[in-house]
Amino acid sequence: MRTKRVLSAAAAVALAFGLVACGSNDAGSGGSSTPANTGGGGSSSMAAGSSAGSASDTGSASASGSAAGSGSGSASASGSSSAPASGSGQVDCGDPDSLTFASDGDVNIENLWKQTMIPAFNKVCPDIKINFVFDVNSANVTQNVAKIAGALKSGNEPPYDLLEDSVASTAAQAGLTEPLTEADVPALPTANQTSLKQYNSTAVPWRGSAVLLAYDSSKVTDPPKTLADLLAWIKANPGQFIYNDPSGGGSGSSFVETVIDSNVSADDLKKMQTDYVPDLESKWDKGFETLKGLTQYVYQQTYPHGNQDVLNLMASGAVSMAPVWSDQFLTAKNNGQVGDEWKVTQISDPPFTGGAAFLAIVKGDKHKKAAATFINWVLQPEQQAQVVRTISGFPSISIDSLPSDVQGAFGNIDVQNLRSGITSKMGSDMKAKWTALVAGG
Amino acid sequence: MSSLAMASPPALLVLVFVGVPVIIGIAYTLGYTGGLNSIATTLAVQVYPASGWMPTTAAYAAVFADPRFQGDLVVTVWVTLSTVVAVLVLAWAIALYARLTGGWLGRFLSGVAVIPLFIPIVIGAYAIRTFYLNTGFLVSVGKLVGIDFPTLSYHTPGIVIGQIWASLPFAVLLISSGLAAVPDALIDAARDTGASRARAVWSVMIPMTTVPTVIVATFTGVGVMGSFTVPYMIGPAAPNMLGVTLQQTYASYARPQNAQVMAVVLFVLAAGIGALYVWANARQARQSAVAL
Repeated sequence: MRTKRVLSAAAAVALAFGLVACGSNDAGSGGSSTPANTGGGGSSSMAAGSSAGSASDTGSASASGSAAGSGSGSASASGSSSAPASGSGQVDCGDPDSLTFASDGDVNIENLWKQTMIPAFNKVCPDIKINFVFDVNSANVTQNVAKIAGALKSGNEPPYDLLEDSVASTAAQAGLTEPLTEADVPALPTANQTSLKQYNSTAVPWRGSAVLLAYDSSKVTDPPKTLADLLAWIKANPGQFIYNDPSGGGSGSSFVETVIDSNVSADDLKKMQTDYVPDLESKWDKGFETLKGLTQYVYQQTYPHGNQDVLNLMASGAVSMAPVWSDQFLTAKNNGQVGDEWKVTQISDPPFTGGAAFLAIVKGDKHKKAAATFINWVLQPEQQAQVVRTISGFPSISIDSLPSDVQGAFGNIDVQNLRSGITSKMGSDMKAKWTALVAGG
Repeated sequence: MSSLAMASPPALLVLVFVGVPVIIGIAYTLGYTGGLNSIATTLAVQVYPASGWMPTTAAYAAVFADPRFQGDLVVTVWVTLSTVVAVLVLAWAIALYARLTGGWLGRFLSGVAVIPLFIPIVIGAYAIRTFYLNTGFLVSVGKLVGIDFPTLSYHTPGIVIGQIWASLPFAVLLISSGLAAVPDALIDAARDTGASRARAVWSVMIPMTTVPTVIVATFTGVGVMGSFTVPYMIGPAAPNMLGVTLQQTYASYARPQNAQVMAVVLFVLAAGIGALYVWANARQARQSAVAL
């Protein structure tokens, strides 16, 4: 009798746990509905630090940018000399091989790889088979990086060879990716050098995007030019501005970071962009106070979850100004989701952050040569032009080396010198503090 | 003995795929950050490791000291309790009406109440959020007739509405079938001896439907407490329910140990509700043993 009671108690505990576990399965599926990481790989690539990039560093950053431009001169010469044939001529396919390519983000990225890039690569190098796996909305990045870390630690073959977007930057941050040189990837000197330094050449930037300020030109005739102007505008126009929860998408995260950064000294900021320095987090207090004061002026005094929710509010005319990812905004505008009255501009003092999306090869990978061939191919001007055309991404190589029809795609927005963000660990703490101090406080 | 052999495969399965991860998870919260937990540790911003073999409660102390967690815990308990009460009242009202009065309205109500069962929760939650937004149906119609309805989406009451919506079908099904099992003869007998309809419900129908009611209350409570989709879609950025906070702590704030602590807290609360369920079942079993 007694054992029966013990058994039934145990069964109840198991049952209770099972139901809680169902809840967390639910979490998995719900998580994948997050319109989170897009653009520059959302949070993690946004947050990754680099030595050059704070406002005061623009000079040196543009110097390295122009160096990249001159490096790409030769590539552009052969690239623009003529048709696709010359493009394939630049790529040495090497031995037949197959590799697993893991990517993540929004559906636009999935379509770019699946429908455009990989089929085109298969025509150039039919002997390299690419097995493509996609993690929608980057819901499983942490688990996937953990799988790679586990495989490397136990000496097993990792589940993926080539990585792209959040999984690439997270793995590179954890030191799980292979350093690459010009010998591996001949086109490496043409890529954005500032972003390449971000992970010491263990991850290759293949496209970029930045957060910009979108405004409804039918309601706003004179958009703010600096952050101080923007903050004043928000207070003067209650209910007309919105940004999303920084945990759910990079555009809101960039706004929060920009407000916070404006109250941090250049020296401290540099440390936050390269290292994890929790002691300096007290310097954020002033910025969070400013943000808390803004809550009463944002639309409905509440914060939507992700980048897409903000675009929806813009499309319905509920707000007239918001920070947006450049690529998402331009794509939404091209397919008519947001109207022609919407325009974008970049603010200054400081500008919003931006960053690159990366391709990386897992450390010690057996298929390194084939994977490097693919990265080299992606950095060719034709493929870079495809990135501009298909997803309105910023090219990693100098825009002057692209075919002339896409050179004017971004107007006067600087696509090379993006202000990089704080490291992803600092970013994690920033999001936690925002939730506690601004949304919950 | 042979029955034990027959039960052992599922028991083993539960032990390996549920039991072992639970033990590893609990060990993680107590500071055992190496071994099987080392990979989660390498990707974390911060962990609270044990010194040697002595477990540490530093992770628990840190989580419980966090005002965000305290607020979320209150919201979680509040939403769970209000949902359970509301679901019980609504399900009983619908099931009783259908049992006692019947007719087209009874069939209609019990039919409509079950519909959410066939709508995926993500879609339902999105629809609820849109409906109760400030630009949604309720507020818009209210404006037309001059009533100011509050915006419930992105606020805690919106979560409760979503939870009721998701939990009601199961409750109505279970309580309806419980009431259907009460023999007409017993109700008629009570009425014949002069009991009012309310008296017949109170003294005959409710006692005979205790077990389904307890099942509904406990399952709804545990399900709501661990839910993610509804609070994530409908709730505010903060404070929200623990399921959402847990996911963010793990994925956005990169603190797996803190997330694990929250999971243990949810687990303990759920086990408490589970104990209630076992107690009610045991009580029922004893009573029926006496009656027979």
